[in-house]
Amino acid sequence: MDHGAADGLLYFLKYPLLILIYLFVLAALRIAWRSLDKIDISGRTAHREPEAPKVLGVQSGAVSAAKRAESESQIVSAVGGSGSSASLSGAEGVRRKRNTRDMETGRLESVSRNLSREDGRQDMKRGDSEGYTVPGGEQSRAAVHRTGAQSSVESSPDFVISEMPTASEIPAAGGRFYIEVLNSPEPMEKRIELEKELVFGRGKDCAVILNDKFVSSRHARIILGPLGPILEDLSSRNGTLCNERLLEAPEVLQDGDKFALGDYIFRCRREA
Amino acid sequence: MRSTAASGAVLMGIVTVILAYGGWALSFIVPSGRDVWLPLEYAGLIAFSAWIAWGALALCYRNGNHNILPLTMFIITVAWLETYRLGFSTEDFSQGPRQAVFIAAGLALFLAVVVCLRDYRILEDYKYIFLILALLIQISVMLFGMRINGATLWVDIGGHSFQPFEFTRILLVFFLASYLRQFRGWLRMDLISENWRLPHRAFIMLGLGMAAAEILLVVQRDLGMALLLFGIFVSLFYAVTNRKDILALAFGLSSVGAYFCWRIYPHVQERVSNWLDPFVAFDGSGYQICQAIFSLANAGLDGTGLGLGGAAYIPAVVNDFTFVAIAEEFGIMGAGALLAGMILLFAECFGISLRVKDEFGSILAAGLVYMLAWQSLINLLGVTKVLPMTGVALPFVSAGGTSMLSCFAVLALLWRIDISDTPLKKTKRIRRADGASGTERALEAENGR
Repeated sequence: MDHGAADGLLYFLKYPLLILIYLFVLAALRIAWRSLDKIDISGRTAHREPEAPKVLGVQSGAVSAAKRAESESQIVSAVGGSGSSASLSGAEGVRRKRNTRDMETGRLESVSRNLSREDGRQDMKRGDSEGYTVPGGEQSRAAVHRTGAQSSVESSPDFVISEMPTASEIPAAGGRFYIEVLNSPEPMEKRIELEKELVFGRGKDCAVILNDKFVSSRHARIILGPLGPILEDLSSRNGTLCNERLLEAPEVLQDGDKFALGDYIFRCRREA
Repeated sequence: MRSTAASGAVLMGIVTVILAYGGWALSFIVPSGRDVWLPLEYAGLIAFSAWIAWGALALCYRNGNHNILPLTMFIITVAWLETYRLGFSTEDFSQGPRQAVFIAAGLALFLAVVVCLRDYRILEDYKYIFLILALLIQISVMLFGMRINGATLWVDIGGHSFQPFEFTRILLVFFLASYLRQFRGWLRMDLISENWRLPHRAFIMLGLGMAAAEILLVVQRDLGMALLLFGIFVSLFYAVTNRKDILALAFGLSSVGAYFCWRIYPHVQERVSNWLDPFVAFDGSGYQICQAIFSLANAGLDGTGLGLGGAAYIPAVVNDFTFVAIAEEFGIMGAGALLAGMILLFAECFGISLRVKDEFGSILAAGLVYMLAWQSLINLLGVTKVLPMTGVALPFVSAGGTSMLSCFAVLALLWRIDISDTPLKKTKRIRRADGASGTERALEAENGR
């Protein structure tokens, strides 16, 4: 490469260029130092998107809780227990502990309607006094959900079963039922014990948390009826398949019935 | 939410000054009889398109990371000045202008992808289609491609050759990211279960898919890209599942694979012997590496100065050895600054992966950055004679339209993932006012019976 007379000039032209380059690198380093310092990975969740605001359900649950308790206590007691009126009334995020008194009523095979209605009301009142269904508390929770703020120490286990009474303690018609997991995109336990109400969904407040794109945050539920477990779709976006057809109305599950939510496939089994 | 628009504007301003000064300095080494102000005009084109792209993003998407584009433009600027200057020595005077047009086109593609790809999550639904498409493209390259330097990698379309793997690797990263997200739970478990059954289908499908892609690349003798794909796969698998045994397995597999490639392919043996001692074959295949070593030795702390180095003696310097040319003419200081820019760019992109809440976005961003980072590493180690030379282009640095466009597409995807962190407008799911009515009816029917 012969450049002749320009060489001397060219040799000194490089210094402003180097200085400019280093100006850039120092500025970028300073900026990156600040921005990379702010990364906080502790608040990450395993979910694909932030939880949907649950305003609708909460409002209806809080405002008309008393009214709804009236109608729901009938079913709930008929199912075999009155404990889940709070969660049935749409109050999200409330995980009720097991209740000895509910257990006693739950053991009764068929409860008369009058008795159960009273029982349901009492239970509702007790729920209020225990602070499970305080409207203000619910709304403040909802507000947290709405703004999308998430606590930084929130952990998201892949599989959670709530501490509610299990099906083995509640004799349903013709034996005890449980749910067998046939297919799951993620490892989970192969057997799910039935409870009085078992909500399947992607949301963290569900009893069975299914991490799948096609599963809604509250997708479906199984409640124990007198003739066996009843599968009900909670108006999920992608629907629930029961024995390879879309579930339109709640259906009583028999031994060996298969149902599918997203990629998850379950089978209802009765213990021998 | 953070706003990096102000700091990004400062960086963009410095890049513009570098471009202006570099274009002016290039006018001193323009050969006689050529337009002296042409470099400055093309520098203006690059600066103009960069400011348009950056400004549009800064105005429309305030939440994005506005440092990423200036960092990229810094790398591109330094590389473009060197590419333009190398064109003078190799008598290819259209090289610099052509590269400037590629950069402008890449910026346009960047903007188009960011604006048009409204929700990158749709990519997750087509993972097997991506895999099959990638395999089909590679097979068609094998059938209809041109053979250059002992490898069938290029396809000729309308007189322009281009390398399809630049795009198939992006498809493979899509496949990997969505697959790993779906089956991460299974992949975290042991390969061999307690009762010695077959491993879960998650392992089998992943293994088959990746093995098919790897074997295709090896059969095409594209060993650099095979190494790149393997590196992406292993690092992404490790990042998702946190399994350390995959690292040992990968090391073992790559050792075995490298040994067999060395035994089977004569051109691999040639490259390995050139790596071990290039001066034996100085007049033949080792000439490229030898000239690169001379150039690096000539560099010194502050370099020879733009236009005074001898990097143009390296064959195919603008494709593979641009970094060596930069190191010679800008010195160790300039090369270090370029490396610092790359590291900062990758760090910002990994920041996207760590920051974004969506899991698929996180994995996809990590995969894309691993791709750029591994590619840079393989190229840099090759040109500095730490590893055998494999002919992998350096992202944003090497001359070439395909490489530039695909790198900008990757950058746009990363940017899109970053801004989608802010909640999208969701359709509200309306729950029935009395959710229990259906159950009620069923129960009443039962009780009535």
